[in-house]
This record gives sequence, C-alpha cells and structure tokens, in this order.
Amino acid sequence: MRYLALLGGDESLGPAPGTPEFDTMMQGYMRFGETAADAIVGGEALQGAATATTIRHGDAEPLVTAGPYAETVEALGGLYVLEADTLDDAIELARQIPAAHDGWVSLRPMVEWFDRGRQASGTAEAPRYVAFIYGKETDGDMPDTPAWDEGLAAHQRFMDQVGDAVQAGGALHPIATATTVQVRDGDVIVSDGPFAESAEVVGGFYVVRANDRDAAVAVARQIPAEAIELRPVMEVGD
Amino acid sequence: MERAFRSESGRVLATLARQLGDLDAAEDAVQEAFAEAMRTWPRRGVPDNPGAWITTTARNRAIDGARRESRREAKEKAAMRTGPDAQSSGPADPGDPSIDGSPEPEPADDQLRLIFTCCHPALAPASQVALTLRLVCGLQTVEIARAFLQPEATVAQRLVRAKAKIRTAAIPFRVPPAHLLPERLPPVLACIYLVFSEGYAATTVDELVRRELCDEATRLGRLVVELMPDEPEARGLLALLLMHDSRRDARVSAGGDLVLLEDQDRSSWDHDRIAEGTAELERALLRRRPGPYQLQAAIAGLHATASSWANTDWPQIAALYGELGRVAPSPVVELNRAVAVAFTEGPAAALDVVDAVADDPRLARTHLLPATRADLLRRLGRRDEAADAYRAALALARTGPERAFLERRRDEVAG
Repeated sequence: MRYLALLGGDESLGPAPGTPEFDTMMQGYMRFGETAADAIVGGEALQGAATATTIRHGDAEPLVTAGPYAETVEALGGLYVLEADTLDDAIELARQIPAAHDGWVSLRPMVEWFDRGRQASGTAEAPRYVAFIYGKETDGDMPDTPAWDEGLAAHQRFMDQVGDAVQAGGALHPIATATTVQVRDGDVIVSDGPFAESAEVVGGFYVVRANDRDAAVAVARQIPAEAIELRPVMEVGD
Repeated sequence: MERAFRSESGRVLATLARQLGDLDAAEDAVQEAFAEAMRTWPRRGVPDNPGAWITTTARNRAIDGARRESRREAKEKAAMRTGPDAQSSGPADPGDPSIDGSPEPEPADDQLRLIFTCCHPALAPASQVALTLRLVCGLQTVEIARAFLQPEATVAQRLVRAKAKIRTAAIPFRVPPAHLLPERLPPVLACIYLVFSEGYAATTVDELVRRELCDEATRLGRLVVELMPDEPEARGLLALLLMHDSRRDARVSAGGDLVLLEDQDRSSWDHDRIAEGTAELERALLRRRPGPYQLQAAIAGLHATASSWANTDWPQIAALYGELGRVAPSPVVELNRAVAVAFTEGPAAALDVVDAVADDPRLARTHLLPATRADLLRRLGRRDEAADAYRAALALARTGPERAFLERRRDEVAG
C-alpha cells in the first residue's frame, strides 16, 4: 500500500535557505530520510509557493498565471511517497516528518505510482518540476468507474506524447480518504480529511524534467486536468 | 426476534470482519443471515443458541459471497491491466491469527478490534458514532438517524463514506499496540460517552430510542473495561455512565418535565447502579492515574451518595471541578464549578467564575451560560438581571423540558 504524504505549513514562519535554522530543518529531513529509508519510495522538496505557475484549462486557450492554484497561508512545501501496510503505519512515519511538528502532513492513499528514475535518460541534469493536479473532484476521480478508465487512457496518451519529460507520477484516491497528521507539544493529532480543502491536490501529480519554466509549462499544459500547479523542485544534496 | 438477533449480530459481525478482512462483506453476510432468520425462525422458533446459528449461517453466506467475488475478480483481473499498486489491502490485520493457524481469538477481542476501527481518529467523530452504533451495536441505519434527528439518507451516506475510507486508506482492524493506546483510547471512550449523552440528553427523541442508546453505551463501556481491565479511564467512564444512569427515571417528571438534581426524589435513584459505579470508580482510582472520566465519575458519585442537595460535599465537588478544569480545560467545566462555588463561597463568588468564561465562543450557542448566570442572579436577589438572563437562555434552549423549566423560573423572577 502506498501513501502520498503532502507536507505543508506557513512559509513565512519557515527559515530562509542559507541560515543556520534552515540547516537544522534540513537535518531533520535527513534524519527522517535515514530512519524511514525502507519506507520512502520517493520524495521532493519544493521551492516556495511564490515560484509556482498555474495552468487552467477552460473553453479557450489554457490560462497560464504566476502563483499557486490556491493562495493559502499554509502552503504546500514538499511530498513523500511512502510504503506502509496500514494507515497506522503511515501515521507512524508521518509523525516523524518535521513538517508535522510546525505545519501539517496530509496522507492520501495512492491508486498507483511509477518512477523511471532520475538517471533513466540523458536529461538527468535538467531542472525538475512537480505538476500537481487540482480542480473540482469529478466522477473521473473515483477509481473503478468508467470515467476513471477514460481519464487513465487520457493520461496514458499524455505520457506517450511527452515521453522522457515525465520522470515519475502518481494517482490518488479521492479526497474523502485523506487524513491529516500534526504533532503539537509531543501529542499526535490525527484528523479526518485534508488540511485545507481548497489547497488540496485532487487527482495526483507528475514529476517533470524541463530545461526551464516555459518548457515545463509546455509539458504540463498537456496534462488532461482542470488545473495544474507547477512547482520547481528544490534539489537538495544527495 | 429482532432483539435476539441484534444482541448477537455485533459479535458475529466483528468476528466475520476479522476473518474476511472486509467490513462490507461481513455486513452483507450478517444481513443475509438476518433475512434467513426472518424466514425460518417464525416457523421453527428461535434456535436454542441464536448466536451460534447466526454465526454459522452468516459464515456460510460469506463463503458463498467470497466464492462469487473471487470468480468476479479473476475475470476483472484478466480483463484489466492492473499495476502492483492497484490493489488496496483492506482492513485485514496482516498478523491475522486465522491465517497463520494460531488459535482463534475470543469473539470479545474481535468486538474490541471493531470498536477501535470504528473509532479511528482518521474518521470524523460523527462517523465514528454512526459506525459504532451500526456495526458494534447492530442498530439499523434508520434507528441511528432517529436517535440523532438526522435524515436517514445522511446517516446512510456517512456510513458508506466511512467504510470506504476504512477500506481504501487501509485503517487496520486491530487493537492498537500499547504505545499508541494513550492517543487511541480517548476517541473510543469519547464515542461511547457521546452515544450515552445523546440518549440521556435528547429529550425530544422518543423514550425507547433514548433508553436503547444509554443501554448500548453502558454495554460498550462494560465491554471495554472487561477487555482492558488495566485502563483506569475506561473504568472511570463506566462508573460515570452507571452514576448518570442511576438517575434516569428521576430526572424527568411524569409530565415529561426536566427535574433538576436538587429537586429529584433520591429514593427513586437506582441504588444498585450507584453501588456498582462506586465500586468501579474505586477500582479505577487504585491505579493512581486519574483522568477526566474518573474525575467526572467522582463528582457524580458525591452527588449520588449525598443524602440531600444541601448535604452534598460541595467543597470536594468544587475541588474536583478545579482539577477537571486543569486536566481537561473547558468553559462548561467552569460553569459547573461555579455551581459548587455558589454553595461554598456564595453566589457572588460563583458569578465571578461564570463571568470569567462569559466571552468563550464555545458557550455562544448553548443556554448553559445565561441559565447559570440567571440562577446566581436570582439567588442574589437581582431579579431584573435574572429575568434578562432567563430570556437569553430561552433564546438558546433546544429541548422542551429545558425550555419549560427556564420559562417557569423566568416567570417567578419577573412576576
């Protein structure tokens, strides 16, 4: 069983890169990376919400705007793909993620997940972006329905079109299956639902390789979804 | 006959849920067994051991169902390209003893597993209560809807969604390991208390349903104590429920009016329940790990064993509310403390306690704050202010008996 852990918090309270506080925070993530190594299937740190680009599909040409899909104080900051047998095991992992202690971790069961690996093609050096799928939840977001199968076929066509530009991707179960994990004063607070309905990734995400923002937008705008939020990945020492 | 069936169905369902690793399949099997009972019991009579009959019938139905399912799945798998992650692993416990050949666990252990699954914190509290009543207590959806004054469709949808989340997000079917109990037991106890409170307080619902909710909550409370005898808060909750329940008949008059504790006929209290509650509380307190339920039970116990309202140990009650406010801060606790303070230090001191929480938003929508203020103002002889406070309380009071009581008092001070 795989879970997507979405990490969020108030960016304005977080330390800036280059400061000792930032290094301390990163050490927290390194520690989680070591202790949970067997369970971590994938993970990306994101650059700030201000670096986001949002693509909205309507009747006319796609609308590309600067900024995140939803302007919220509690911004999305990263993600992990976790392997766990049960939700309790996933919660045990989530409580160790630094974001749970000053922000939140939202757990979503995944329908599927693939990762071709960063070295799979000659483009390993290219910057990477995470393209999150946002929008209203529709019938197509319910697995095992004809609408879902149609959506799956559309995503398959997208993948065929863009080829190696997509490194990884995952599809999620509906938002109703989300669970939020926070740790405050040592107590774990588990609650039903996403942290903030408006800011919640709906269907899934892709990890896109592109030389620059425009190239990433050119890939992401082909994703069959109501709206896409594109966020540059913060490449951390590995 | 329905009653005989229900008293067994929770147990059967819990065991089937573990064996099948699937709540829906277990529920379907129990429903089918119920239909079968409806067909055959009237003709042949209720079997000597209805529990065994239902278990056998439901298990056979489940096995039939599983065979159908596996044929269907085999076909689907052949038709669909499914990745390794496409399978959700359901609520089955990977360490399921029925799989590895260890001895079968006790049915009661299965019920405890089911309670913890139904009250998992990843489910909303309203869903926890509905699931527990449906699956553990065997209430029908329509009965739950009636008890909570909600449309049946709302409750039905809540149940469907909650079960879908248990399955899809893989909420495990197990009693959490010891290190997780401090955070997992409270929602279970809160759910049981909520079931009880709904039965105890909701005077708009018909008497039969209320009684049923109180009885189910007490049964669940006993079950958790039986299975977790070392948890003092579980025992404290049971003691609290027994203390409250002992006053069930005395708190509503023949005419349906709410009778305040101070005016109740103490001889009509159920003294066996009080004795049982006192014994449970004493056993809980021996563990020296006090918590909110033990404190509330201790307060209820002081009321239950006092010879009269005036002869109640008010200093001790005020001190216990102070302690309760420390371990579980709540403005409602402060209001209750104010009542005790009124007896020990007088209504003026009590009014200070009330006014200190007057702006708490958690009290904004209940009549408790103005009703408590009104009573203290009345005792201080500030009749006009008291009448205003009774009016404010009336604007917020929900149930008939509460409203009738407040109206009587308002007329007294205004007249």
